[in-house]
Amino acid sequence: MSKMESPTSHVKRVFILLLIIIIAGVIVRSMLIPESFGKYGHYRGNALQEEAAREVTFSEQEKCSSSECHEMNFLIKDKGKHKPVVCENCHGAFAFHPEEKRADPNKFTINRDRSLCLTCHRKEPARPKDFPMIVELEHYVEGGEKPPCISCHDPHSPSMG
Amino acid sequence: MEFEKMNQQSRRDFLKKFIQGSTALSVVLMYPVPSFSTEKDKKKKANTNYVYLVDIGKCIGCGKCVKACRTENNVPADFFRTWVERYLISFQHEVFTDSPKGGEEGFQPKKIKGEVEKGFYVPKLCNHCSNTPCVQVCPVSASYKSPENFILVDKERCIGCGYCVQACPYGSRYISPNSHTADKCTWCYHRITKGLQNACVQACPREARLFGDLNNSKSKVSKVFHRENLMVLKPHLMTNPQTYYKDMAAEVI
Repeated sequence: MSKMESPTSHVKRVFILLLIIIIAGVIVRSMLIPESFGKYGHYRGNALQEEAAREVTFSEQEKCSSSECHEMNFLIKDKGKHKPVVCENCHGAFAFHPEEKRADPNKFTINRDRSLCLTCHRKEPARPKDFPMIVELEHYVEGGEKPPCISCHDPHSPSMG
Repeated sequence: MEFEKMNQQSRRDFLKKFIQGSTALSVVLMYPVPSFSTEKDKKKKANTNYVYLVDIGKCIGCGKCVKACRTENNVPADFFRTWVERYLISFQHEVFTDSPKGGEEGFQPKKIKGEVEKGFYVPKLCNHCSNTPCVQVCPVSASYKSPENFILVDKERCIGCGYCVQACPYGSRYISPNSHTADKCTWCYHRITKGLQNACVQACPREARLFGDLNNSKSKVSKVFHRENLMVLKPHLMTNPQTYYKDMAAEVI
């Protein structure tokens, strides 16, 4: 040993190391935490705006009536028992409908199948008793054909008979 | 000899000071650190109290809500943000439950052992609990509670660990096979903020589902909420759900 080191040099070294660790920690922390984190709470604030900006597929059924294409059917439905059933329940989401139709008029099909009616009106013990329901076997003439529901009932304004 | 003695003393001193120092430091660290949100941000807390009401007595199990939710939120096949369960209770008080395809295609008649004494449908969805376990367990703060008390998932931060899926006592969450992140009912946050109704609420032909702000005295929800007898799912878990059920039987779990 040619030269004596200062008795406090080891303390200095520790403090320099600590300082480097703290600075590195602060840099890494700022890199890892997203910009808007903590804006509203312990989460990324911009996530809220991103969620709110998502596009709407299901529209309000007033759009169907105000589009002039289906005003008549809408008015019929509005006076009938199917008033609370929105157009899109049977005809599909509004957002896909006009484009689909424009692209290929034959592609947009209307479901006239009995199964569509029966999803709501099939006799089921779990259903509320006041709801109109049918037992398929009892509803038709015995041995006779099963005509589609819409041959007797108007789906936009159904009534008995 | 002299040197050794001195060295021993200093080691004792060192240990003493070390213990004193670390005690003092831990006391300082125990002092509550101010949270991320500042006073100004806290004022942004929404002045709303949204609740979701389900009227079991009105539900006909048509599954239009499940279908509407799938279309609106692009929910992958075989996964559900909302679903409908069927309960059939026999005379011997045996309870049969099923939910074929989440009730999306409606329900086919089902034979059970004995006569059906009681039957009903129970629509289920995220309860948006005020004291939710799913947000607490998230290690990366991807699950969060919005200022309006909507429980949402930040898909960018989510690492898909699935802790929240396990933590939810209502089975409302799933890991999406498309994004490989947690996914759940958002109460249609994107529709509510645009002034629309939730897709499922709008699709329901029987008004079995209602959603609205309790602080708005003119809302339908506030009238039903204060007049009817309502119940929540699994109240013993103290999650404080914000989805309330009317006419709920004791058999419902």
